[in-house]
Amino acid sequence: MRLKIIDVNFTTRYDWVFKLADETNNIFFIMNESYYKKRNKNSPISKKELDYYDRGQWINVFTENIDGLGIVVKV
Amino acid sequence: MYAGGRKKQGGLSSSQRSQLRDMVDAMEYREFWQQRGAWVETQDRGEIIAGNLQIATSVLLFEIPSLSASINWIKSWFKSSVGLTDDVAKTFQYGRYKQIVTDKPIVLKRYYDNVNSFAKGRFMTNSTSSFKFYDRMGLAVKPTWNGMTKIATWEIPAGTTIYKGRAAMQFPWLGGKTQYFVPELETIKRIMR
Repeated sequence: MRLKIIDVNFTTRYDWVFKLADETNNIFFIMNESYYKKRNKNSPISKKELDYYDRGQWINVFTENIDGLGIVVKV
Repeated sequence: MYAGGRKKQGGLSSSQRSQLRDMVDAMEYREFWQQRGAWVETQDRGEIIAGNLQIATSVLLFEIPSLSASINWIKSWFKSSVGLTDDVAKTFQYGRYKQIVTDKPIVLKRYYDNVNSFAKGRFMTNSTSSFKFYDRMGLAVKPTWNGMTKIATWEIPAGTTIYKGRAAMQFPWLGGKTQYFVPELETIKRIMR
């Protein structure tokens, strides 16, 4: 699905790194690496995505519902 | 003998001994966190203020050259400062980096190719060499991420929070060269050279 990056966070203040929304404003997250590790999953992002993903960009992703949240599992 | 209403022992007043003890504690504290790569330093009106960012609500930990800076200011500084998320921290060698608030504009550069990486991005360096392979190895840039065919120069304005350290290995690219991470891209300005 296609999502728009609406916020970024590179600190330990939140568990998410990128906050995204679809066209109907449903919220999704790309979480930090430890979140995925705890669930035996690989983080969908690397240094490359950390480098240039920014607010306003649209990206194609695969998502899953984990603990009631829309979580990006592949970009 | 009394000085300032307090008994003196060993030539020092109790407040002097207390201050001395605090300074020794602070030096040990600094050394402890320096060894673990979690020590940061910044400046406020010319005074160097430093501390461990992993304890966000900590009071004054160590200050050079005097203990006179405002504790409230330091508390607010620590409260507003938190560490980098693991995803970014691991791009620095051993997860060690230094947080810097620029006191004047600084110029940084980055490689890009306009295919997989672009002129505007968060990972930068302060120097590039004429040997691209050497830079690729030192900055640990995989060819699939960045063809490194062009160089963009950016001015980071004063007052910007950035992170500095050595690039971590991205196997088989070794890393070790100085890498900057600039979280906020909206305020940086491109310099054409």
